[in-house]
Amino acid sequence: MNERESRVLSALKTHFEKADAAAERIGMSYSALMSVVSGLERDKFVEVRKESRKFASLTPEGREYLERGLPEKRLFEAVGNEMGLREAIEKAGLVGTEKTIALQWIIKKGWAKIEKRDGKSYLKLLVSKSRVAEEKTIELIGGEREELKKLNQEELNELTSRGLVRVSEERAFHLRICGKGEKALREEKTDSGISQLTPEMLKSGKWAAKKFREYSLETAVVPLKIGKKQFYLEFLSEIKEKLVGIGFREAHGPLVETEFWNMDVLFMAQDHPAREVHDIFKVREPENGRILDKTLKERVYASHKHGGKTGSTGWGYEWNAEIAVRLVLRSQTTAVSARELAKDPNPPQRVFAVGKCFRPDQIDWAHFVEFNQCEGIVVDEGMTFRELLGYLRSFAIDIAGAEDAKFRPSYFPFTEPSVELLAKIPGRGWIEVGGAGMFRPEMLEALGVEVPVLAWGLGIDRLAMIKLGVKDIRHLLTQDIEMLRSKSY
Amino acid sequence: MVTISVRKKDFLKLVGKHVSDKELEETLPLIKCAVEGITEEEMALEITGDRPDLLSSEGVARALKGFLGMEKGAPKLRLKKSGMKIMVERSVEPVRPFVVSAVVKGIEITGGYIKGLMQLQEKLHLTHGRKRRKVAIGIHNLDVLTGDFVYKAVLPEEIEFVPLGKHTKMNLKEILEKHEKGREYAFTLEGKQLYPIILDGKGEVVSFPPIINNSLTVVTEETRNFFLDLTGENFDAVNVALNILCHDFQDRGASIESVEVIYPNNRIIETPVVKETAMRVGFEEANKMLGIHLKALEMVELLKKQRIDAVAEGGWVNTKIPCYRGDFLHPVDLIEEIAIGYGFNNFEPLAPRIFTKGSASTLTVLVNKARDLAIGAGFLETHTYVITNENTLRKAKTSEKPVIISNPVSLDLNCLRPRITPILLEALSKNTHNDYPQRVFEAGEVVVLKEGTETETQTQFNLAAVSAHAEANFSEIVSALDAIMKGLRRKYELKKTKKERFIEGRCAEIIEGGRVGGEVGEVHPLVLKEFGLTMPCASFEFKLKEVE
Repeated sequence: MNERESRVLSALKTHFEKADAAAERIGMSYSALMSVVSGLERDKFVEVRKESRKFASLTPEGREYLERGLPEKRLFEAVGNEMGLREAIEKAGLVGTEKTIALQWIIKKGWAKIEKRDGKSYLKLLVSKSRVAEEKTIELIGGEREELKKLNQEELNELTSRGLVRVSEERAFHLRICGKGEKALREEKTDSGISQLTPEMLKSGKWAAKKFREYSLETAVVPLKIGKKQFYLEFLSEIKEKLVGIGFREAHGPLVETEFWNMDVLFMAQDHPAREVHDIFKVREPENGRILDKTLKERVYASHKHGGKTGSTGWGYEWNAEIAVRLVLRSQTTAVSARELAKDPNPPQRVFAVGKCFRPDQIDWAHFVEFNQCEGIVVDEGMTFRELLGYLRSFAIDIAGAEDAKFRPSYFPFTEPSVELLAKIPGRGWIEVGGAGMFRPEMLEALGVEVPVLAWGLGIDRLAMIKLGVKDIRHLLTQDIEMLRSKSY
Repeated sequence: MVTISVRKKDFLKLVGKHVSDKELEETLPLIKCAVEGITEEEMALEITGDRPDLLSSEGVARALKGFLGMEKGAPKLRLKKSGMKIMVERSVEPVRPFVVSAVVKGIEITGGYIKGLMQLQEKLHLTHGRKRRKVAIGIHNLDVLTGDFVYKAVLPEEIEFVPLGKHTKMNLKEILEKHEKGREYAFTLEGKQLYPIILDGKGEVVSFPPIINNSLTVVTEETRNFFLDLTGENFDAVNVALNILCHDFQDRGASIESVEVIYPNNRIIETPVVKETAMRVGFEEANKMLGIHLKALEMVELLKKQRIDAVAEGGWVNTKIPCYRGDFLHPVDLIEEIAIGYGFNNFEPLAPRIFTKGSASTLTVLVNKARDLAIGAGFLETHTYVITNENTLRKAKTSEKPVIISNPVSLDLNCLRPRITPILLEALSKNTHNDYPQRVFEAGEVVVLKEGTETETQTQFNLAAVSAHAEANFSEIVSALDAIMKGLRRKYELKKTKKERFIEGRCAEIIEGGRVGGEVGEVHPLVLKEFGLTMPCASFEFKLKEVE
């Protein structure tokens, strides 16, 4: 027995005591204590009782409902007996995704139904009192955590599946000294092997005459809080590496763009619906930027008005530079491709960008106002539509991990032909992965590009959700430290 | 993308043959109608933005019949003359200069049909019509009207009538102020002195475009004959929409009659104008772009499948595009039609064959180096949104002005972050129930204002880190900063500073090359209080590199 072992052994009590409490009392770190105990247990000097306790704690969403009440409950209470759907939502003070959550659950729970009359929707209550059990469970858990066995399992399952409660397991160890340990302590001389190799032993060579104690594999693992990479960024890094690996050069662009780069250069007419306030974030401060490249400006003007020298009719309107200088939040990474082509229009080139885009979408599990796109272009003599499909197929299979890919026609103002890529993901079926096409001649002429350009933009957030097993797009950018610590790519 | 709902039985009757659900789901997406849902009764179709002619059952059926080989080439409008006229007064020129019209006779309305017609009108208004600004459609009961018509602009209070959906007379100004449709579409007449109006031969109001019809002309299930008026800012756009409507009515067995529109200076146009657009494409050019080897005659057949008349002449495929298609600007648009006719999934994808050197950007290389170092220093990586709100910035006592969004979807998301630290503090405030120490960092984008540049802003990558635990202090955070800076081989100095967001005497500016590149310090208790944090926090943030 070494000095540390005898110190631990003599400190332990004959009745069970929690290991962390013992560590504090002895004045050792928990991990040091457990490493010593591991040897003592093997020798049956110490008895270790493992106890696993499960705890429930609220997720950030759950904590919010703790303060404000479940959305469906708030909606229920707002309605009274019957009320116009829109008015009820307003009265209940529901905002954003809460609206859908509240409606979904109030109906699922059979508290109310929606009736349509004269083109208007009404919410009609079906029960006089809403069941409040889940709310009680939420309160019971409160801001801290609660042991699982004290909670109703059925309600807990429901709350967990709604993502309001998280269950964590805590393994606690209880220790006591056994008769054999007490005996050993009495016979201090008994030397049962080395617990910790020391510099002194190495110097004196005394270790050679002794045995090393074995560790118990169960008590040796103590959780460490390490610094680690964010799981979603790891996914994005992997995509970038794959694209670099097949010969693409990475590019970046500004998040605040002029409408010029975000749309006009992409041959989007100034009255195009995608330029309206419900499809793009406009910037209030600062309001306007400027167009630096005068030649490009002239060419964009010509392409919109009469098609320039391409043989196109153009959109047939008077293009307005004052609209083009207005600032917006980048809504598509194609703006980055356009900038790259303006910098260097010469073949051959293959460029990609993984970047943030912003659109004022309705927020739900699959949409947020900020998201990532993965954009790429191939600039070379003799590029064909078949080659574009070849790239898309290889992205679906090599990057998205799909087992098959298919295509369908689509529409983007800046590509013709335009195509949508669908990928068959194992266990998920066909999902839309992104849009692609060959840049229109009107756009290429304005940028001074004389060869065909293949272009694609993949919505990689959807792929990330599938690969990472994340059910809500907002969890990709989670602020929950527990999730950041535990989740890996 | 626009979603329309289609009654399946009615649709299959228009197609004229039974097509199974499976076949519909496989085929329709190949002609720009993605099937979003399909039941016994209905189909939800998502139509691409370039095809207003597909916003109805009739239009989709017409395209499908071509694609399935049941009909070939462009359908023709068999026009009779109605003998009716619309006189256009010069007063509409600065307001809403164009009108086109047609008369529809003998339509058999069956249950649910009106709903489809209203859907077409609504979706055309929304997309092709740019919310009625570019094109507005009026559909009237012909039998209550008397020819000939006048299209003119009048003073807002000059004329009154009972608008659709109301029971009392209102003048045009009142309609814009009080009627639901008036309020919704008032923006289309913003700044106009005079408002457009269409009157019939008896001086009765037909419609107040692009806002509302007279209730007198309301269309019901009993209506058999229609009078159509389409007004707008662009002649081609209104004429395309009129052609779409006329083809749809004709496909339902109605007969279509033209109306003479007499523009100022006695310029007479018989509408709908049904002159097809001629466009040609070199067949070699098409093959070269698509990467296939079709004969000119094969291309002709594929175009006919797409309901476009085509003939092969010399090296060219000459086409005539039907008037209900307004989406042809350049021969590449024909090439796409050839590709769709060929079938997107019949192309054999070609493996990439050019060689270029791949490389991560210097920015990404630098950011990754910084991330590795921060992780080595024991920090947990976060990745948070660039979009944030002014309140979070205010709580962190951020002095930099952010980029402010003029149309935020909510007040929580109304600006872009000029620094990352406020977001990290916000993240920590949501984790007070989790174990400490909590050391977090982010290497991410921020946007700062920069006057005189192209976008008046600068997007850059910053590295920010916060350490939160009972013993977090200046010494700890400066040690981490120093290790990271050395790892990045960046020379820097610390210079004492005074900032509201840090404890006085425990913060410094990070000076690189004589310039302030960042800051480090112990977060001020008042800031911690704002975020509801009860743990000491120390933080640093500095600019890694600008996005060029």
